[in-house]
Amino acid sequence: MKRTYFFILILVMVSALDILCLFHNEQWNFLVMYSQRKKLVAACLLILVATVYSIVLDWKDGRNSHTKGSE
Amino acid sequence: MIRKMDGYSPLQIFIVIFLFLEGTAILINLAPDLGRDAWIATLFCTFIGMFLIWWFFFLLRNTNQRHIYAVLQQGLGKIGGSIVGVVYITYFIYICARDMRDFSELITNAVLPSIPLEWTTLCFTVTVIYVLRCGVQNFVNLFVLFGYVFAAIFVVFLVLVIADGELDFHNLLPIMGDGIGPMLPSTFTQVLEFPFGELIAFTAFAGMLYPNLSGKVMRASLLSVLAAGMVLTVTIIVELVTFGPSIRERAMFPLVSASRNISIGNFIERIEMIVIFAILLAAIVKVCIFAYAALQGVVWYTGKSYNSLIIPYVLLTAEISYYVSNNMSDHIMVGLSFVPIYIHIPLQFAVPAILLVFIKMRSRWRKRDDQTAV
Repeated sequence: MKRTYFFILILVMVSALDILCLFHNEQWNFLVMYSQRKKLVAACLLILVATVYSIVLDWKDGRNSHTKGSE
Repeated sequence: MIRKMDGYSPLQIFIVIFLFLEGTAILINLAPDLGRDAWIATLFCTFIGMFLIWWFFFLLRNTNQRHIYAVLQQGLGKIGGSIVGVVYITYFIYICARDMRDFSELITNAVLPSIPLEWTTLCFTVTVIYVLRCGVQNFVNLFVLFGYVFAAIFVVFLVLVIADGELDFHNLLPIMGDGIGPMLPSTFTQVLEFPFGELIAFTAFAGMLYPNLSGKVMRASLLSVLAAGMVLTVTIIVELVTFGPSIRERAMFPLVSASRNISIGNFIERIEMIVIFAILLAAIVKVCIFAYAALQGVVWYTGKSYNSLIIPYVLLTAEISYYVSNNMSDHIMVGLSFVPIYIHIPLQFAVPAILLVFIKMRSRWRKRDDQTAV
């Protein structure tokens, strides 16, 4: 699951940096922006696809290494 | 013109660096605070930019490492190097997202106003994923082709601007009317970091494309920065002589506005579409380079294959680009106030400088230890 964990780490860090930039610029309405329906749906879909993609690849890697190990 | 080759030629890095620097810098209002002196600041920063690329490549050459992530581990140790490396990946993705947003805003504001920003970004994301999946050899060759097209469009643009004839060179006067002092803060906090300091992205992979970063590669890189700086300077001069510093200061995309003003015999008009096409090519290069720099770091830390990481990280970039700001004016405000001082300066100048000092000190200690042992 290294790929997925690393992806989540980077997701958290980039989001934190983004919020920090918005805060510093006194854009206090960033939560309003985050909750705009169209943006929120698009962003959630993108992150969902990316996370599921990483999980599936990690699972495939794990299965392959398990199969090789048992052989 | 483009030969099939196993390695990479200096021409390729020349064009890639050139398009990378043009990227979004040619699109947005560079150094708006400097008014009529913006072109002087850009010209001045071009020479500092040449020093920067030499410095960044010197860091790789001097440490015999292929990318900055390995240099970080060598200089700061495994844990410290990994932490700072992850910070660099975050930085590359964030700046990539900002560039993606620049491009999406351009398309939404100037070309397709009724298409939602999210769709434009998504289309751009798919393009970037495709380009990155083609592999580095192929996308570098593609960028060479982009370079020729970009150069041709720029020449046509200049010819049309001159043919249009509505140029007022008095807009450039007085040159440095308030002296050099008031120019310096904006020069060092705006133009130097964006776009020249962003060349730090090349340290993430240049050593892998050109293992020993030979003299030819260094010369091509230096010339590329010089050429890109000259093109940016000429662009700013064209913007200033076309509609003056006060309108330029307020324009969101001054180059697009300048090209929209061109009208030759009421026949050749609306050439901003060609200019936007050229900007699109340069924007693809910039976004791809930043994404590739981040992906190299992820490959280095996770040990997973490059192709399997492209989709998640480019989708993440697209998601962040939705949220970098509420609108274009806020986006520019963040880009001019917080990002240069708190993000660009530490990661473009402070960390490489500290690394250089650490590595020099370590090599000196090692030499001293060896002499003591003998």
